[in-house]
Amino acid sequence: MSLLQVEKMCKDYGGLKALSGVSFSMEKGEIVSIIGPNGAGKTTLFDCLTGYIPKTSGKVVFDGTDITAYPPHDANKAGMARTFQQIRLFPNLTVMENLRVGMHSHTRGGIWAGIFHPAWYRKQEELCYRKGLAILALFQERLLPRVDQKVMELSYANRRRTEIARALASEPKLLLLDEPAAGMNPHETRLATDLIRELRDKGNTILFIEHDMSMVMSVSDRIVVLDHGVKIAEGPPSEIQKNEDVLEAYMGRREHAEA
Amino acid sequence: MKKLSYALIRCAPILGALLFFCTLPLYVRSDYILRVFVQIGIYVLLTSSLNIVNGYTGLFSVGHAAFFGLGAYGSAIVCTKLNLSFWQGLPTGMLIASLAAYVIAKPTLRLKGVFLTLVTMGSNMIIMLVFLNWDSLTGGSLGIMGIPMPEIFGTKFLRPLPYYYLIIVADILVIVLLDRLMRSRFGLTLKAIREDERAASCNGINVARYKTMAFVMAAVIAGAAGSFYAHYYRYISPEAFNFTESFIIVTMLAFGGPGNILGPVVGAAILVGVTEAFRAFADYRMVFYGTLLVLMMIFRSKGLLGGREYSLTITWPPVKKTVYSKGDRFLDTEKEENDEPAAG
Repeated sequence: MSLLQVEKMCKDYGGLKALSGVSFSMEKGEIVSIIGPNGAGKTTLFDCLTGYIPKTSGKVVFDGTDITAYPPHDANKAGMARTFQQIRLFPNLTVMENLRVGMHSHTRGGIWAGIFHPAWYRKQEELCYRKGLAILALFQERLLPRVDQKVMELSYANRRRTEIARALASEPKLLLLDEPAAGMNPHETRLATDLIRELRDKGNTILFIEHDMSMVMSVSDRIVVLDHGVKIAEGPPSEIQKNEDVLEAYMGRREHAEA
Repeated sequence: MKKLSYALIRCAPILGALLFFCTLPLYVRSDYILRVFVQIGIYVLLTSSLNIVNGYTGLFSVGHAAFFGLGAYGSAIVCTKLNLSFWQGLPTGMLIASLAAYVIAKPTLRLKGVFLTLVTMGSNMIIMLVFLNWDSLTGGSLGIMGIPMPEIFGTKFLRPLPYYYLIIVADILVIVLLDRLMRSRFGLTLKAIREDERAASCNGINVARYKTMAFVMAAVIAGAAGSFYAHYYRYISPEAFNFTESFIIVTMLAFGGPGNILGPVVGAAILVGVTEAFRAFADYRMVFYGTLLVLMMIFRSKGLLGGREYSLTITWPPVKKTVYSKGDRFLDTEKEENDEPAAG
């Protein structure tokens, strides 16, 4: 039983087919990366998976449940957490508050608990705080000293890290990272690669989009290649590197190149 | 014993404020000043409730006077037609306001930005027109007269003093509870929606549900303010709840500082105070408010108190901040990291 099963996912924008019949599946504990030229439909695929935009057709089965029609908050509750290509944090909240919002799905407490702070609520908040620190510890000196800083005061790389931390805070069964190394320098990209490895060793399942080939080739178990909304290849890194279709999608046809 | 003293120290600012306002009538023996305070108190309730919607949830409602009016009319009608007392009229007003808010919010909170603003404006106008034209129930443009004054243990609130105490207690209660609430999971959720609605939904927040809750909560408090208003002036008419009134509340909030627990207090106190001080120019009130709003947006768009949040309680005993040493391993990268990201 695979963790995620995507069947014939289609998304049309009027006449434009952003995704046409993309199918793939993921096992628990796997790291799968999605690559493809710009405009291939990678982010659209993420958006469709998490219910962020409605799908035209297709089916998503996640952890044995059909989540095709789930809105984003239900998809999150089911165990999917994502980051965005353009960072979408809560800029006026602190790092810890951002993480606390990430834990929304598996905590409770509405208006009454908020006003009266009963014992169970205080205990829950205490636990959340400690869990938040444990997650931030993954990023060590990068984020730990900045727990009470507003996110908008952080550097770009730290904001990316905070976003990953926020996604981890929801204890996801599947982590979807949209270009975790975008805009980072080679050193930071290396740190991000190490982080993804560390997350895998902790038993996380990760699906990520990335343009940095050194990162993609070194951490992924499998690669899915998209071009113009169609899956053109799937397989381990060594196979994808040799795949003719993939080369063509990235470099253009041989005769064109020679002409 | 130790626990109690800690609790007292924590609540010191609140207790101080309570003590100050409760003893104020001992030094200020003018009914006029107390009346101004009551008026400020009613606006503090209104502005604080709008703060939940506009300041914390990041919606932009400009129809808040509708719920103020529903609370006032609801309370006034049950008291005059059914001969009930203020203490029964108050919850009725709150209930009617909250029901109306739910009916308006449920289908429309999926709208975003300016469309939602237009809906709140429209619903304010509709509700005002209902007050104006449902003659048999609301008395039309003549309004409702002879609303009973509140009574407590058989003593009527003949002078403004008991009313002053009533409104002070209501204000402090609402502010303290909102302060607690806005620093809880619920408040954080509202703030997350304000900061980034789509990111909030991807983090498991049912945005429409929380927006509705915020809207209804604001209406409940505005309804209570309406009931206080009706039983204080003892006469209400539709003009008091038209769009201009909503605009005044929005101005007070924008002036004081939205998203700040004390912003509404500052905004309401200063704007009511200034209006009273320049009573001779009362006709130019809206010109003054409009100019003020324009100037605030240009020079201090986050309001007088700014975007900072204040806590009403003191953290006691003081918490030691954990000091994290900078690992040597990371020091070498600290500089390049804080630089602007390289392109691509």
